[in-house]
Amino acid sequence: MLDVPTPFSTGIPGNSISQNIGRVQNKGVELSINATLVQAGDFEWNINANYSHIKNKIVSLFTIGGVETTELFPSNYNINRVGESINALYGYEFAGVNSGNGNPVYLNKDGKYVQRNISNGTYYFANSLNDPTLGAATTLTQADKKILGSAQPIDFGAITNTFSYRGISLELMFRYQAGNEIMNITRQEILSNQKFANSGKDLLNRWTTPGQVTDVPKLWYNQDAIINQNGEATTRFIESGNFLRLQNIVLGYDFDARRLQSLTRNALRSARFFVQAQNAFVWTNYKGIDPEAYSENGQDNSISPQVRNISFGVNLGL
Amino acid sequence: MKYITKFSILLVFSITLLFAGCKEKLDLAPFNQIDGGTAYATAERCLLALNGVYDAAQSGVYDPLNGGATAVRGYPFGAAAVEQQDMRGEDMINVATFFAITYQSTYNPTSPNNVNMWKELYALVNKANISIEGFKTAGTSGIITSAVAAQYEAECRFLRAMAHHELLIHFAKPFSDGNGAALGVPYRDFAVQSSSAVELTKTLPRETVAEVYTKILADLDFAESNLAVTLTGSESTYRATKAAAIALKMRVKLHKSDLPGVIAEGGKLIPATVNPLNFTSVVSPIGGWALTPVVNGPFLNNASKESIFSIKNDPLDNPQTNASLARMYGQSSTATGGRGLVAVSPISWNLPEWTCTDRRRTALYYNGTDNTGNTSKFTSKYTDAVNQSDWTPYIRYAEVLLIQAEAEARNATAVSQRAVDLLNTVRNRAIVDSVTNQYTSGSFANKNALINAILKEKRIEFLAEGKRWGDIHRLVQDPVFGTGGVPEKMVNGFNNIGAFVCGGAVPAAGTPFIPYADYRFLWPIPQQERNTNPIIEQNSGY
Repeated sequence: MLDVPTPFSTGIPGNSISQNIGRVQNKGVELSINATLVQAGDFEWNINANYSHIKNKIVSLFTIGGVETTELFPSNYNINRVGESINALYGYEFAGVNSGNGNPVYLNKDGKYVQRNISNGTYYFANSLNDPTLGAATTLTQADKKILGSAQPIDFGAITNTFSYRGISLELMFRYQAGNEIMNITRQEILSNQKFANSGKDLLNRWTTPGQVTDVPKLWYNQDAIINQNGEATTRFIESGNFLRLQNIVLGYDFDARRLQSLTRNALRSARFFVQAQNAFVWTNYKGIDPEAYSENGQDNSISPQVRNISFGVNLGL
Repeated sequence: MKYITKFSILLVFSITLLFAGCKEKLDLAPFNQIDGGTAYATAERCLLALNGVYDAAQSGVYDPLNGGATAVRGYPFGAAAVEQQDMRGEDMINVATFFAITYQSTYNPTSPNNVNMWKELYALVNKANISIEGFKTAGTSGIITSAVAAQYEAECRFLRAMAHHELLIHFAKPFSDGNGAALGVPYRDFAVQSSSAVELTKTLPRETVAEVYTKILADLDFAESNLAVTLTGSESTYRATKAAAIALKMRVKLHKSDLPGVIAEGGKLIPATVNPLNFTSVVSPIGGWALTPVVNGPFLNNASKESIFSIKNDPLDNPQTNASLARMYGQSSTATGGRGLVAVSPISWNLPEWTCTDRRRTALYYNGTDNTGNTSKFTSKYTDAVNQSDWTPYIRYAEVLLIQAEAEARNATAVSQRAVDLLNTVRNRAIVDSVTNQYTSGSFANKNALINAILKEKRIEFLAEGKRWGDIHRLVQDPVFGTGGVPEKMVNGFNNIGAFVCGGAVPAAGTPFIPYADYRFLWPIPQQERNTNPIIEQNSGY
């Protein structure tokens, strides 16, 4: 049961009604391993690893006037297409920047180069990525969009290592995720302010001279929506969401309970000191602030990142 | 398949009550939660529902379409209709990026401006349709009198006609193209509040432009017969009255080039003889509408005697800082909150027909700071940037006079004295020493010269009021007065104050002309409409 979009021309508030939207199939495997790798004297190393692999596929969608729908667009950046994963990212394939004139170049549905002339927003064919000539006028429309990646991770899981030696224990928990793409709207729209205040640093790589090979088109004051294709997904702003995160480190020391009780005449029954770091490190190629700061449809649009939390503590049992 | 449908009209909440072993019952119909079944249960609620339809005309929900939060931005008529029409025309300038997509015609089926206009116009239409049903039921069951029910219905049908006409001028070709044979828009004249009604809409293709015009006029005829002549105080301006329906009919019939039709309608609102030198003596027999004595009268007083119909805004409910006309069109100022985002263009300012001593130049325009810190030309038609309480003018009596002037001028074989008089009535308020400077029939070599003067007067009088695109669209194929497409405009962000010279040359335009045959002359049907309702054909080229 999801919101099925209604035509705008019905004038229904929110433009959707809740109904069974279709059928989705999830196929995958889940594995979990617990192992004691080392047990030597007082030293012990335990590992707990789990792994999930999920392939998500839309089997069918609702019908419109008796006709089976095969495509549904939850937003400008996404598509739900029968046979594909749910909320797949959908938009234009960015081919690069024309090094001859600084225009952004896309691939149309026939795989031909189409450049967007920044001065007026019109599309022209491009002979190559370095020929500045504007070819015949053309368009880049809905028909030229393609599926640009899965918004859902395909592989994910966690590995927890626990080391203990006498009263000292160390726990390292890693989480990982792979297979999803993120539409980095934050990076796209932060380029909109061209007064060089609060702008993304991508602007430093903008095209300035003929022959310069870069992936940031030239600037043209007030034409940022045209330059960056605001409001649309393009591969220029779609990035892999793969990451490995050191989610949790806990270093602790437990006092020997029997000695403690005799030392304190049973006033303290147990004591534990610990240092804990949450979200300690992230290894990722994702350019945004956090590879998990995205919505359920794979969009990073100014979403708050996870916080890094370091805490110290003492547990006393009275 | 199981359907759960849910619609809100004004305040609709579904309440799920789960109690176990509880004897006390919750209030099943809380006072502040009204559902569709009870929204029309009392006379007060009927009036509130009607208010809700006007509210939908003022502002619905703007969706930036990027996953960001929705906002209030004066869609459709609270501000956006004015801004979009001005930005499609050449007489105003987009200063920064705010309306650049409209200004430069780079819209596509997912650009927010055109999508939200479509979406919110139909949201207004559906609210009107739902309320029409509610008022009919309330009228037959005696909750309100049948006369009141008919009046409320007439107000809704006025707004419904207004919405469909706005849709036509953006998303469909003009009536002149094949006498209305081109693809129009679907005319929604039934309430959609069930999944079966949704399914019904998916079987209704775009009607022809002519069919839509017929339905618009049928709505306005009903409105004229059932609307009040006047209401209490300022309600006469922010609610539809008989004169508003007639005035809108004049505009619509002019779009259809139905000249005798325009003249017949205009005859109801304009006396048979007018004295242009005593322009305030020209008073509408219906509603008493007349020109204000001074050119900025309709803007100093939201509910002036000239303001036949306006959309009401107030400090608590307005299109807000990203849309309100006073902020967008007023100069950039931290003191007022003005943003200097829409400026006057030298294309209109330098029109040779606009005399240098014209009072409108000083009373309604000033040099101010634009959004980028440069000096440019701004309008003071919208005065309250601080509280954003300016009402949005929709039809003024001046437009009634100039529509009638154009129809009379076109309908005559020679220079029509009646048309000259009507033109003078509006123009004499603005020019100095009107006794010697007003037009005479001798001022015009032929009737085309007169029509040209009337059309230029419309551009001058309604500058910054969102009337320009309507005339570009209507006249695009006119061999004499048509622009032949989207006219060339100054470059986006133009700000050379030295270029504003009364009667002077206009600097080279930087935004190129787009011919009528180009697909960009029309806005695209929103992609979401096409996705969910494939029977609605896309405009070619998108």
